[in-house]
Formats: sequence, structure tokens, C-alpha cells
Amino acid sequence: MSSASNGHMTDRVDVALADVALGGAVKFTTDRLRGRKAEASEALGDWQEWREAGRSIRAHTVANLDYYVDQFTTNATAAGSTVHFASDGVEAVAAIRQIVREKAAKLVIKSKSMVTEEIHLNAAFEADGLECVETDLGEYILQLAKEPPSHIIVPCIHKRRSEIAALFSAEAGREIAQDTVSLTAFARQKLRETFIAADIGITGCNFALADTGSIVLFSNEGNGRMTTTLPKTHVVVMGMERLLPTFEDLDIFAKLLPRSATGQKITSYMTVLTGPRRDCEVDGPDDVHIVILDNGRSNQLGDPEFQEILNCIRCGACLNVCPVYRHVGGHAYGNVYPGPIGAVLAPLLRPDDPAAAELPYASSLCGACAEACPVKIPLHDMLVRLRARNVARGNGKPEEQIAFTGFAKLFGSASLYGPMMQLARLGQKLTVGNGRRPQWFMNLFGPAGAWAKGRDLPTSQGASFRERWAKRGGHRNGK
Amino acid sequence: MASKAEFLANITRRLGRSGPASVPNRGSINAGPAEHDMSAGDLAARFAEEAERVGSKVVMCDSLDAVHDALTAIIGTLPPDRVASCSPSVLDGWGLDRVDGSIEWLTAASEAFRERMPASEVGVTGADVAIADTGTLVLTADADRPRSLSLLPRVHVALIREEQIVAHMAEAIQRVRVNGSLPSAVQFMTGPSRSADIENDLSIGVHGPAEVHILVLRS
Repeated sequence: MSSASNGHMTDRVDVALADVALGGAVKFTTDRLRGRKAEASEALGDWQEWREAGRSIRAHTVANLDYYVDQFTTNATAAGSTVHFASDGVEAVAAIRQIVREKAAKLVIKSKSMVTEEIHLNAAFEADGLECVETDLGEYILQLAKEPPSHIIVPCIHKRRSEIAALFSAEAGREIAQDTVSLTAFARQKLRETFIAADIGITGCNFALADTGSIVLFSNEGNGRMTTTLPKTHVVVMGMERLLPTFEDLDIFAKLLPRSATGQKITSYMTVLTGPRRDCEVDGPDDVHIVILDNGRSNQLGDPEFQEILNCIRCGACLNVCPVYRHVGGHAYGNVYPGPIGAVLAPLLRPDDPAAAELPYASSLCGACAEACPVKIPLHDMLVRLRARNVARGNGKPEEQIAFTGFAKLFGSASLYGPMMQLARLGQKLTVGNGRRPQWFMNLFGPAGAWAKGRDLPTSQGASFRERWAKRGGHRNGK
Repeated sequence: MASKAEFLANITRRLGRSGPASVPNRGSINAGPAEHDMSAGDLAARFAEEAERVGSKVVMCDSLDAVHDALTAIIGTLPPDRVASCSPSVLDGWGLDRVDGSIEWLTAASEAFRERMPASEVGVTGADVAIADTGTLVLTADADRPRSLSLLPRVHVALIREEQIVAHMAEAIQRVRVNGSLPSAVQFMTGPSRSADIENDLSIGVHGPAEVHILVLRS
């Protein structure tokens, strides 16, 4: 879909790291989001207990997903919605194309939705020559720039004001000033015309309620409300795991999701939609179509190592705390979902994609993601298991195999360990220059060169503890 | 295209069950901690504080006349030849025809509503419930109360009675449920429309209302 998804992650990382302004913008935004999250969760009180409540509801829902998908479908249908089932992205796109044809739609509007990015819906519309306009301010900017989102919640985290003004000016055919008020005013006026003219509104959904057949959208700008109020047809693309058992359960997620995503107590709008407009109502869509998408999700069910990934509520908190994401931004992942959640989801949803298999290595395994997760998904454990799975499939490097076999031998044997450490110290004296290692020597590192390039080991300080202990007479003199 | 039966059977199989699931037992769900007790405090004052924190403007009114005065003041800030939209029940229930003679009231019952409504400067609504904890208005849709009233005009004015304010969202959800089924749309609205998509700089009124005024009639 994007140019960013071509090539290797290491190449994309080099591009991202060279972009100083991008690094500043990503760091500033993620700092701000996680600072606000900390404040908002502190202010709520009992954050760990709310997390546990959220986790238990999600785990229960996923463990009984067949029941809840069935119940949701029955209630949504009773409310007048039409429900479609798609095993993969191709089927989902086909179902939506069919609706577009039936309605003879000329203009489609969308409100921000990661799942429609996942199925590459915009590319399909483009191929059909159908006009499709993104209405979230950030997504609208990216659509004009022809770029994919770089953050789940703040999609254009990487765009600068001057670039946005240039894009808007080109669209308007006149100069649009760079201040926020002018830029927003242009987008409001331009998109307002689009909302009124649109034939179909497409949204994702943050949650779906099984007991009422409703879908729930959180938004701040109000474009989600516009998209579900003005066009005659509303199409919802819904990951099959988005369910909550009851309307009452939404209360806890209305606490967890906005606080985790943006540090807000609640978003400006939380919209609960149940079926199309009733006969007597003057606005709202005449038809609601809900496309329930599997696309690899069901493969995680029943897998004790990965089923919990379906608990995810797509808040983006794991991105904001991830040291890797914070350095390289979203595009370096070359995947629809970046950050730790993307590094776990991509290889699970696309097990045969070699580009997805390298993403679990984009982590320092520090565990900050799991700690930030409002539903307690052990993301770092999953990243380790995915690396193991990748190696078990024969995708490990032979050098790594040799290195770790040697490592195990060495650290498993005291008689080998002592002499080898002495030898290593001698070697280190020759090679570690506190940052002044000659390039010819770096080249000898081979595959470890990339690792060694950015790191300096301090020169070792004389004898080791074991040696000094032995010198003192070992345990015989110990107290 | 997958059929519903295939789609569900696949989930059942993956979950390691032999047949369709029976009604799940919610025993494994933790209820979550108790909410802060607000029963001792002034809910209306708490509501006003929270609503203003997110950018709504709240006026406490001791009488219907005071509500009319506050509404007149808000309308006075709008450009001339203004049109205000509201639902018929709000027009009657709050005696709005007695407010400022220069304004034209366009109600959801009128023929021209759908066409002219998007151009109106202000939308006046009631609310089903208001939540003190978050400063949130809860509006449901029906024939009398279109969704767009609180969405398309640049200014949204909500008229509520003090007894409509509850402490927490859980109570609001209880009040909204009608015989188990829900209205076509339930909007939880907290402050004006906002975005931080341009270099994290807060902008107000991106797509929805830029101004939200809440007039609370005290009991």
C-alpha cells in the first residue's frame, strides 16, 4: 500500500533516524500523551483495579466469542442493520464494493479507522475510480499527502504545520495561512460540503455491544458523528473481537480507552448507534451495513500464548511508551499497526509474510508496553515467543545459532568460563577504545557490527570478582 | 463471502468447543472498584465544574426567566438574521417563543428543517441525562430530537433540569435503556468538538460545535 512497506525495516529505520524533525515531533507527542495518561489514570484512582476489570471483561468476551458474535448479529439484525461476514480483507472489500454498486455511490466519506487501513480499502476505491474522502483532520492531511498514518491515535504525528499549509493551499487553490485557526477553518468548511454531498459513510468501531446490537464510536472532532448522521448509508467495518457483552460493560471502557489513548477523562463524543434511523426520524442513515472481519484473528483463538492479543482495545498507549517507537516513529515499521501492538499483530495476522516476521525484533523487550496496556496484554512476552517461533520455522541466522550454542556451553561450565573470561578481557583491552575503535576493526564484527556501531563498552576494570575472591582464599576465609 | 454459520463454527472450533456456546457465565469478570461517592456533594456544581474544565460554558438558572435571559444573551452574540433550530418539545416545554423576538425558530417538525437546518447558527436541545463526573450531556435521538441539532450548528445550547444530573456514567446508562432496546443514536457529548492533529495544537470546532452552552434550571 505504502512506499514505506517496501524493503527491510533496517533501511526504513535509517531513514527515520536521519529525520531530526520527525524524531522531535514523535518524542514531543508521545511524551505529552503518556504524561497525560499518567495524570488521568492517577486522578481516576484505583487504576490497577479498573485495568483488571477491563482485562477480565475482554478475556471473557474473547473466550466466548462465538456466543457474543451470534448474539450481536441477532440483535443488530433485529434493530434493522444488515450484517456481513468476511473471512479476510478481500471478502470485506468485496462486500463493501457490492454495497457501493447497489447504492450507485459517487462519493464516500470515512472517519478514522485502522481496520479499513488493514484491508486497504482506500486503495480498492482508488482502483475503482471512486472518490473517497477521509474526514478526521489528521487522516485528511495524510490523504492529501498520500501517506499512511504513523500513529494509531494521532495519525499525522509526523507532519509539520508548514507542510499542512502547503497541502491545504494546493487543495484550495489559494494561500492558506499556517496558524491552527486558519488551517482548521479551511478543513471544516471544505469537509462540511463533502459530508453533505456524500452517499456513503464508512467507519470502524471502537466497540460493539452484543446485548443491544449497537456499535460504539469514540471521537473528538465530531467527524464520526457527521459520517453516521448525514449520508444515507452507513457501513461499519468491525474486527470480530471488538465486542463487549453489554451496554453496561461500556462504562469501564469509557474510563480505560480515552485515558489510555489521549489522557482525556472522556472523549468529546461517544456515540452508541443501534440500527438505521427509525421511520419517523429526520436524520441518520436509511441503511446500516456491518462487515464483521476475521482476517487472521480467529487463528489466535484457543492458542494459550496469543489469544490475549484479541483483548486489545487499540488505544495506542504501548506506542507512546515504547523506546523503539519513540525513536523511529510509525512508518519505520512498514505496517498498518506500528509499535509493540503492531509488532505482535503483524506476524500473527500474516504468518507467511517475511516483512511481518522481522517486526518482533524491533523491541528492547523492556516491558513498558505491557505495563502501559489498559487490558494487561503481556506484549513483551509475546514478542519473545514470536522470535522463538520465527527461529523454530528455520528463519534463525546460523551465526546466531553458533553464538548462542557457544554462549550456553561457556556459561554452563565453570572450568571453561574462568579462562575464557581472562582471554576475553585481554581481547577487550585491544579492541575497546571507549568510542575510538578503528573502522577496519569494526568490520571484523561481521553481523554484530550494526549492534556495535551504536554502542561503546567501557574498558574492563582489572580482575573479576571471582578472581579477587579466589585470591582472598575463597570460601575458606568467608564469614 | 463467508456465511454466518461457517464464520461462527470456525470460532467455536478454534476455541476448542464441540458445539455452539451456551449462555456464558460471567463469574470470571471482576466488577471493578467502587466509584467515588458523590451523594454528599452538590451534583449540579460538580457537573458545572467538570463541564467547564473541558470548555463548555455553564449557567446556573434559578427560574425559567433566568434561562430565557441566558439564552437571549447567547443569541445576542450571534450574527443578525439568525436562525435557531430546536425540537418542538423543547420549544414548547421551555417556552422558547417568549425569547428574543428577532430570532426565527426552525423546528424539526417543519418541512424546511432538513434543508435549512445545516445553515442555522445555533441548535437548542434538551438532554436525557447529564453526568456530573465527566461534565457529559447524554442525548438520544427520536422523531422529535434529530441527531444533527447538536452537531451541525456552530453553537449548541443544551437546557437541562438539575434533577437530570446523575453522578456517574453507569447511572446514565441505566436511564437511557428503554425496555432493553436502545434508540437509534445515543450521544455522550463532553465539551466542544476538538482536535490536536496539527502539531499538537488544540483547535476547537473542527467538525462539531465550537461553542457548547449548558443552562441548568435548579430545582
